[in-house]
Parts: sequence; C-alpha cells; structure tokens
Amino acid sequence: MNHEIVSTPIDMDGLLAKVAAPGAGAIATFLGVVRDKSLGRKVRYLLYEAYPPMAIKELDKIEAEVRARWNIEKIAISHRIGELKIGEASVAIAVSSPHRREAIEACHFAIDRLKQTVPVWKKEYWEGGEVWIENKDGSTITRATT
Amino acid sequence: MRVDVQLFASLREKLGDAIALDVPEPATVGGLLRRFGEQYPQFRSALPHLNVAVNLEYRAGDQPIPPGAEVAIFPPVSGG
Repeated sequence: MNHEIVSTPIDMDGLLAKVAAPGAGAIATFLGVVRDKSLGRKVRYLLYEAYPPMAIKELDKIEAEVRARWNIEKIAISHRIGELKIGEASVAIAVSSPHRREAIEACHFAIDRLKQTVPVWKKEYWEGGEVWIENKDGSTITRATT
Repeated sequence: MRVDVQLFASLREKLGDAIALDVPEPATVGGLLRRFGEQYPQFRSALPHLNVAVNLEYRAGDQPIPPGAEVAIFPPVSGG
C-alpha cells in the first residue's frame, strides 16, 4: 500500500521510491514538521494519535479524489504517530506526474484534504500545560461529506 | 441495542479506549450521540462537533448503525 500510518521516523527515500514511474517528469513533495511555537506558546513536543484503519481508508479516498482531478502517475502519503520533537516530520506526501503542475497542485490539495478528513489528532505539550488540538475545518468538512 | 464505541484523542483520554452505549432501536448515529450525551453530560456542549464513524466511514443524523458494526466517536481531526 502506498499510504501508511507509522510510529517510526518518516522514510523520505522510501516514499520517493514508491512514486517512481517511467512516465514521471516531476515529483512534488510536502513535509509537515513540528514547529516550536503555537498560539504564542513555546511547544516542547507533540503527541500524535490515529484511528489507523479509518485513516488509511480516508487516505485512499484522497488518492481517488486526486486521480479524478489531475493526471498523476503515483501518490504516496505517510503520517507518523507517537511523540514528535521540534523539527521532526509528522506527515509526508509525494506525487509524481508527467509534468510539474499536476504534481504540485495535487500535492497541495492532498495536504489540505488530509487536515480536514483523516482521523489523526495532535496534542501539544508546552511549558506549563498541554492541550488537544481540533482543526476548525476538521468537523465542518467531514460532516459535509457524510 | 448495545453498541461498543471506540474513542480517540481527548475523549479517549477522559473516558478510556472504549465504552458501551445502550442505543434505542432502530439504532442511528443521532440516537447514539443523544445517548452519549445522556451518559456523559460533561460532553453535551461538545456534541455538535463530534464525529461518528460506522464501519470506518463518517456517518451522521439518521444513518443506521447495523448490529455488530465497528463504531467510533471522536473530536474534530487535527492531523498534518
């Protein structure tokens, strides 16, 4: 399977290998990384949790949506869960296509959609506290698609 | 109908990995959430924001919960 939820560091070389294709003239990638500030708070680390079987199903749907809109060769998405330090990658997306525009646009769409629909949650641990994050568009979009 | 429900994120942290709800028949997603709010009134104000998945698909309102279905309730997602 090209999409996965992993509890170990994201393997970018492996991800790129998954989207290699003779017809590909471009590979676009996106890497989401842990930032040291959130809402003015100094973040110590993040804890990610997922509902893995449903997350994989939603990632497969994103691939179907991408393929319906753009002429791409392959797409691979990897989301990491567990405790992540500042600077570590939480999510990686790679898209290959014959020409660059499709790969870049599809990659942009895929990360936006992932943040709306894929059942993954992050908890921020900062100096003196902790809080579960809930995306504003997470609930409205997922409800609209039911 | 007894429905076993998996929980995630803030709900899991407060109530545990899973709960059992006795949902009036015919069991629907709306009925499940109403029962959840009755059993855990501290989450009543959060009900409009909670998501329900039935057999790994987002479901809402009067959509049915078949016997033996895999059911989950969770807060808005925040991956990425």
